[in-house]
Amino acid sequence: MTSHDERSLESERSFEELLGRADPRPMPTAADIDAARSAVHAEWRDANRLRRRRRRISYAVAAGLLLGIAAALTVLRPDVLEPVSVASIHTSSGTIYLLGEAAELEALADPSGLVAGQTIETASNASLGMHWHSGGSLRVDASTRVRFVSPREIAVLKGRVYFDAGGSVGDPLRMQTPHGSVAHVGTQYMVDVGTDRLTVSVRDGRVAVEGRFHDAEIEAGQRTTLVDSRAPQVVAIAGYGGDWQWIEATAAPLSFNGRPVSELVDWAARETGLTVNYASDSVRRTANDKLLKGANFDPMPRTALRQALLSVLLEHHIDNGVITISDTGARDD
Amino acid sequence: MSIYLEDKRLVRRLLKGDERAFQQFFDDYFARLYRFALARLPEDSDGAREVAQAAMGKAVRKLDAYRGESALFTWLCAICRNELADWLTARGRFRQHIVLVEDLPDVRAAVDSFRAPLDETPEAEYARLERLRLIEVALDRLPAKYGNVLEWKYVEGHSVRDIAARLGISTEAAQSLIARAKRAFADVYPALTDGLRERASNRIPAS
Repeated sequence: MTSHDERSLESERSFEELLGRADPRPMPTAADIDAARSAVHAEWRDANRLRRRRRRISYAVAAGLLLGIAAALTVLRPDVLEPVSVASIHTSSGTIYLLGEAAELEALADPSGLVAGQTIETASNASLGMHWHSGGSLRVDASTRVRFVSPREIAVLKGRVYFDAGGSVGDPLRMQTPHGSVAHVGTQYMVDVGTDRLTVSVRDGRVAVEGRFHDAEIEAGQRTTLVDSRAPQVVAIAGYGGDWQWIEATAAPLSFNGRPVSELVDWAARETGLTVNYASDSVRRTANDKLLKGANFDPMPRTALRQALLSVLLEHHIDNGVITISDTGARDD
Repeated sequence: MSIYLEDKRLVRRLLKGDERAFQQFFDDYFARLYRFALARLPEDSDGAREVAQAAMGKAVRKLDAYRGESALFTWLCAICRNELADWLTARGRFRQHIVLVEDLPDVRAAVDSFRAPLDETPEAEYARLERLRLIEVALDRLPAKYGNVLEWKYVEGHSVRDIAARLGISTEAAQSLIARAKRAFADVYPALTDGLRERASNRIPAS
């Protein structure tokens, strides 16, 4: 590189000679970029919420609400938050890790409850089901990292989760991911975060997805995939089997002792995504009238269904997403 | 000054909760902050990533403190310097007693203001690696799009057509963008090499 070329940086040759010797600038890894994006995004949203709250409170003070002054001073103090409980684990298998402050993973010692600010990661053979305290049930598949931002928001940093709103009302749970955010409207849906894509599948209800470049709204029986700046693809899917199957292992253990058989049938249908068909009115009446005894049903929905039906001399078969329940023909003497 | 107005506009959108503004902010600045930290934490890419992430986290919490009086990247670098100091202190490590040429006060002022004149020809002999590093520094000081197109064209050897396709713009628009990027680079790079030459000739001690 000659002095003359450094003087005249406007010439094409001088740029080629100067910059041609450089290497591409170092970049963080894609995984680091994704993780940083998600973390900074969560902080940005928290900070904006705090700023909005401060503005509302300052307006109240300006309007002369004397009582608001004490509240405003309390809120405007640097945040000293008590841990906010967001979920309690009802089902787990394999090792669940808690992400420490130095980004180290340590096995979750106390699996009873989870609080806002915590980040968990499931091992490659682990899964998790939890009651979400704001309503609904959250399931976490293997090799998945989730940060619990607040009682209304989680960040799925990688892997797969499933959420069943379970008829809960109020503000929907919001999921942030490196590729966009997802909010539901009374539903059951699954979110799969890959290194370069976000896939959302809906079993029931409706889901709104805000991607980095495009938005999408999908309904039951649909799946959408957002990849970078490409237009989102929406395809029809079944709400059972295949990619949904892992969810069955994370179902919350429930007691049906003394409850009608039909309640267990409905529970199994919801957990598996299958629909129910009673072969006849008398079979339906049997399911509604007969009460289950004991609390020894298998935690897996399909197995529990078979056990429960046989206990009242009913049987079932599953075909094309439908559970058909019929009489075994045996007599209860 | 137009640069800072754009930065102020971006910050206003961020304060309003504009998701696309956030993605633009992150895409434009995270990698550059990472490299800023990496230059001060040699061979520690994990540390550089942590510091850059912490700096961006702090920046989004303090967005309403940005006044537009300096470039947004300058403001972010100031936050990153503080995060770096805290990070090193927390790990019982102390800042190496080396001043990077781009941190020399006069050089920093010239680079940050984009008013560096193309005056003297550097006469001193520059260490080849230091000059190459300064190319990287100069590219990062430009707006993200400028640094990227120059790197794609001259470092990675992509054609103008490829660059246009990558950005989703016409070939003519890409050529115009590259021309503006070159002018900006021509303003920034000599200020860095001037600082290097001045240090070499005046024997400015490391502090």
